[in-house]
Parts: sequence; C-alpha cells; structure tokens
Amino acid sequence: MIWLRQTSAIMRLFLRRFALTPLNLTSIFVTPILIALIFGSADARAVSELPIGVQVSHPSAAATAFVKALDAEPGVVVHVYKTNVGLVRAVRRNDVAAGVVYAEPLGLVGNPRDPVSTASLAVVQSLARRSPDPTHTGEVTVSELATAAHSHQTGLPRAAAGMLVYFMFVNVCCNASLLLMEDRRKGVFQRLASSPIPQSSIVTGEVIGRLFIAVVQGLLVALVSSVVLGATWGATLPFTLVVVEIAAVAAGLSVLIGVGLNTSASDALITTNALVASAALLGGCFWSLQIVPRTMQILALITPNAWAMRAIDSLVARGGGISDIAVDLLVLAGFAIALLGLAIVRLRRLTVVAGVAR
Amino acid sequence: VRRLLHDPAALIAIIAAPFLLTIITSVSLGAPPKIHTGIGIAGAPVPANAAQGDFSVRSVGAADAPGMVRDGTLAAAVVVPANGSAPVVVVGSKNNVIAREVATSIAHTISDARAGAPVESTAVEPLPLGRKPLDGAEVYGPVIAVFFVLFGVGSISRRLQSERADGTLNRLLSSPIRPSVVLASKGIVMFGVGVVEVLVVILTTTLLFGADWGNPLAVALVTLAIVAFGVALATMIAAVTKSSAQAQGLEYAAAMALVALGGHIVPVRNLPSAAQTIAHYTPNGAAIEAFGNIASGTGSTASQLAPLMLMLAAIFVVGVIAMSRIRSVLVT
Repeated sequence: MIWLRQTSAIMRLFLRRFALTPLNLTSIFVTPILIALIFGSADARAVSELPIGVQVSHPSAAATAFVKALDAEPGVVVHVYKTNVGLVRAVRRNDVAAGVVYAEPLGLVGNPRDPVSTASLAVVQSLARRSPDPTHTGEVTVSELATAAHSHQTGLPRAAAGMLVYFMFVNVCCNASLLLMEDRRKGVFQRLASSPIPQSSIVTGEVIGRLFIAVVQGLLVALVSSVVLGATWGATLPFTLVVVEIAAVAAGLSVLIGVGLNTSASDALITTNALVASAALLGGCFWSLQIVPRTMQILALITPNAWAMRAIDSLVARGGGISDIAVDLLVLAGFAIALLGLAIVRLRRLTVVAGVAR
Repeated sequence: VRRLLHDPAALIAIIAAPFLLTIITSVSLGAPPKIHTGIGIAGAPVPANAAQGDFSVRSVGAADAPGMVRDGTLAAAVVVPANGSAPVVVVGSKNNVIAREVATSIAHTISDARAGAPVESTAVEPLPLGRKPLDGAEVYGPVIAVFFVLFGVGSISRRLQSERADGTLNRLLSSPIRPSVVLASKGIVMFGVGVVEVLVVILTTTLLFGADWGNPLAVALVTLAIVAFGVALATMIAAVTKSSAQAQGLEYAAAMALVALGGHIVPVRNLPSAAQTIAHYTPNGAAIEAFGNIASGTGSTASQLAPLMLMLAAIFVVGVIAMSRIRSVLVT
C-alpha cells in the first residue's frame, strides 16, 4: 500500500510538471489536430484533384467555353497562365500536373514525374473528342465500390492516424525526456535516494507517468480527430491495444533518452526531434508507405511507427480485427519489451548510482 | 564556433539531421508513385484513339466489370447499357478516385456520342517540356533546407538567453568588448549555421541524387536571403523573450506556423486556394518558390528571383523590430 502511494506520488509529480508546460499542452491538444487537418485535406486533394494549367494564345468565346468545360470535368482544377513561360514553369515545378495551350491544334504538355499527369492528359483528350457545350452532355451515373482487400486509408483519416502516432512519440520522447534530464542535472535522484522511497517506486512512477501521458495523448487525438475531422479508428479493443503498445514503446524510448543523453535541454530537444521526425518520415506517418519505393517500404519496418501505421490501416481501411493485426501487435510488443526493459535497467542503475553517491 | 564544433548535439542538428531527412525524403518521394490505371469499357467498342494518356483502356464484359473493379483488376469501368435511353454507368473504386474521374470523363464522351450530340473533336498535339521536370530531390530539397534554417538558427539566440541567465553575458559585457560586437558575433555564427544547413541539403541532393538546383549565383542569393530572415527572426525572438524556455517556445511556435503556412508540410498545389495564396506571401514560401523557379530554369533570372523582393521586405521589418529591442537584452 505504501509502495503504491509512493509510486503514485512520483507519477503525479511528473504529470503535474509535464502538464503545466504550455508547449506540452499545445503539442497534446492543438498541434496534432492542426497538422492532421493540413495534411489530411492536402492528402485528399492529392488523390482526387487533377490540377491542369491552361494558357490561351488568342482569347475567344470558344477558348472560354473550353476552359469552363475543362474546369467542370470531374476532379479538374484549372489554373490559367498568361504566358507560355509561366505554364511551362508551372509544369516543370509540379505546380500543375499537365499543361494545355489552347490553340489549333490543342497543345498538351505533361510532367512524366507527376503521378496524376497521365490522368490529367486523359481527361483533356477525352474532352477534346466532344463538344465543350455542357447542354450536349449525355447522362452518366457513377457507382462507387468498396475494394476491401486492397483498401488503404487516404485523406483526413490517414493524416489523423499519422499524427496520432507521430505526436505520441513527440510528446513523450522529446518533451517528457527533458524532465528526466533536468532531474539528473539538479540531483533530484540523489535527493530521492536519501528518502525512504524505494528505488522500484521511483522507476515505476517515472515509467508509468510517461505511459499514461502517451495513452491519454493517443486517445485524445483519436477522439478529437473523430469529432473534428471525421476520422474512424476501427474496432475499439484492437485499436486501444495498438495505442497502449505505441505508448509503451514511446515511454521506454523517453526514459532511455532522458537517462542517456548528456547535453543541454535545447540541444536535447533538437536531437530527439530529429530522431523522432526521421522515424516518422521513414515509418509512414507523413505520407503513405504505398507511394514510396519497395526498398523504403522494407526499411520502414525497422521503425515502430511503420508497424503502428500498418495496424491502424488494417483496422480502419479493411475493417480488420485482432487476428488481422496480430503480427503488428507482436512486433510492437517486442519493441516495447526491449525498450522498456532497457529503460528500467538504466533508470535503476541511475537511482543506485545516486544512492551510492549520497 | 569552437563550442558548436565540440557539441555533438549541435552537429547532429546542423549537419546530421538535414543530411538524414534529405536522404529519407528524396528516396521516398523521388520516384513518382504508381496509380493503377486500367479502365474497362463494357457494352461499347473501345474508341479508336483509346490511349487516354498512359491510361490503358480495354474491352470487358458488362457482367464482369464490377467484380474486376472490386478485386482490383480494373481501376474503374464504364458500362454502356444496351438500352439506348439508360444512362452510361461508371463503376469506380472507393480507393482510386482519380481513375473514377478519368472513367467519368470517358463516359461523358461516349454518352454524348450516343445521344447524338454534335462532335467537335479538337486535334491534339503533344508539346515538348524542354528541360526535364523537377524530381523529388529538387522539389523537396529546398523545402528541407528552409525548414532547417527556420528551426536551426534559433539555437544560437537561445544560447544568448542562457548566457544572460547564467551571468556569462554580464561578465562578457563587463569586459572591454562592446555589446554590438557580442551581438554581431552571435549573428555571424547564426548566419554560418544557417548557410551550413542549406549547404548540407544542396550537397546531399546534388551528390547523391543528381539534383540540379540551377544557377549557383541565384541559389546563393536566395540562400543568403532566407538565412538572413532566419537570423532576423531568431534575434527578434531573443529580444522579446525573457528566458531560454520562453525563447524556445516562441521559436517553436513561429517556426511551426511558418512551416504550416509556407507550404513545407505538403505541396502548395494541394492546399486550399486561400492557403496557396498565403503560402506565396510567407518569406519561407517565397524562398521555396524562388528555389523552384531557379531549378526549373524557365524564364529570365530576374523573373525567377521575383519572390526575393518579399523576402527582403520581411527581413527589413523583422530586422528593424529585432534591432530596436535587442539592446534591452544586452544591457539588463
């Protein structure tokens, strides 16, 4: 009972210090949602919009009708350029996926490196084979099928999942590890070692506090992004398991960083941010791993982020259950056990050394 | 500078992190992602000029089309009913909006022809693009370079606050060294850090990924301008804050806001139109635009460097605020 009270006191102390920092609160409540909103709306546009540049050499009623008709084509967003130089620059820079010079004949210029360039050219060619007059349009109905076996998240849900995983690591690994470093610098562990609090309470309190923050952060982002962005997270139990496992990995990493890094808070923040951002970029938190080369898809698997994103993708896009994400859960558990184990050993050693120093 | 060179964390921030992130981004986004492009047409002959760009269009059975879309064999299908009055149906996949849009466009063309609409077919000819389009490293290299300038130079201004807090600054100022010399030395180091960060990205993308940044002189001008803006911003933040923690928080917030608004996070073309406009008016967005113009090699150098004017205006405004307030940090 006393052990529990002492552990809980250590944990509460850590949580109070963490939660009273405005930067941490911003990182928990505001930044993930804002970035998910930007990423998500852009991701949705990237997989649905066909940005096409048009330059009209000689303005005429026919040219205006063509531009209007092109703009009305499904997915097309027309950008008008005054000069040919402006249009070509826009195509080369990927500002637009394809360019159209309205003249006789119609000039088409595509960007072979742009993923939607061929689709954009296809739509222009399709329009070029019919009258641009909208009154002549025949009736077309569109039906949409769910291709469950091949589905992957896109748009806001994918961005929300990416930010959920990324910010769980940002807050716990970058911000929470700084508190541990500060404690080491200020000799807090020496003072704790001189108190009757057992070493195991200190270690458990520090680890559980971080785990708690990460779980709360994950569930908060999930809840807020469901309400604000319409994100869904699949079956509750498997999703909660994924969040808890990511939290355990992040908590272990946070303690390891806090115990192992000997530098100023400012430099530590930069170093951990670089580490966490690299893992997020590699692991598919910022863009879907579906669009990266095979080598990068394989390399991504060295990060826990990639396994977490795989699991969430399976739950959300394909309606998977625990059996579908069993491998992902096992690998995440492996990461968690390894990192938490190492973290506990290092933290115990730190408190023992502090006791000896006393 | 000596302290920086002996500080592993600083070296990670200035050299290793830009290097690593440039490699990850360039490899990941260097090759264009593949979009499944098979479209089936059922109930009508495939048009003679069926080559819809690189979209492959083939004839399929009307009964098979939905199944083929569902199992991923086709990206989308156009089903033309035998009954002339029934509408043409597009069967699309929830997962491939682009293919559905192309199929819908093809369906409209087929539907118009069925309805007997006047055909006003326009001749089409492909135009050369000239120089190759920018590749992943050329598009994302400037984004990463400017990102690190915004986040990197602030570490020096935070050191100013730390030195003020631990008394080092007071001791320094009590020596014959003038405050302006102290400030100038910090500014020069900040400037050097920013330039090194950009150079790391330029060298990484050029040597490892064959990126062509364009006219070196123009690239140098834009680099100097964005680093000068970063230094001015960091100095202003150092001037208006009272502690290293405050400076850190404000720098993070300012850098995040600029990164979000300036089009670092996602390509500007995918942002809502209002956000696209805002991106062009941020100093970092202007720098990315200028780097892109130079790398594209299109138009005159003057037109490529047009966004520089906005950057110079931002440097002037932020710089004036910074210089008017920084003295208070040095004398208190």
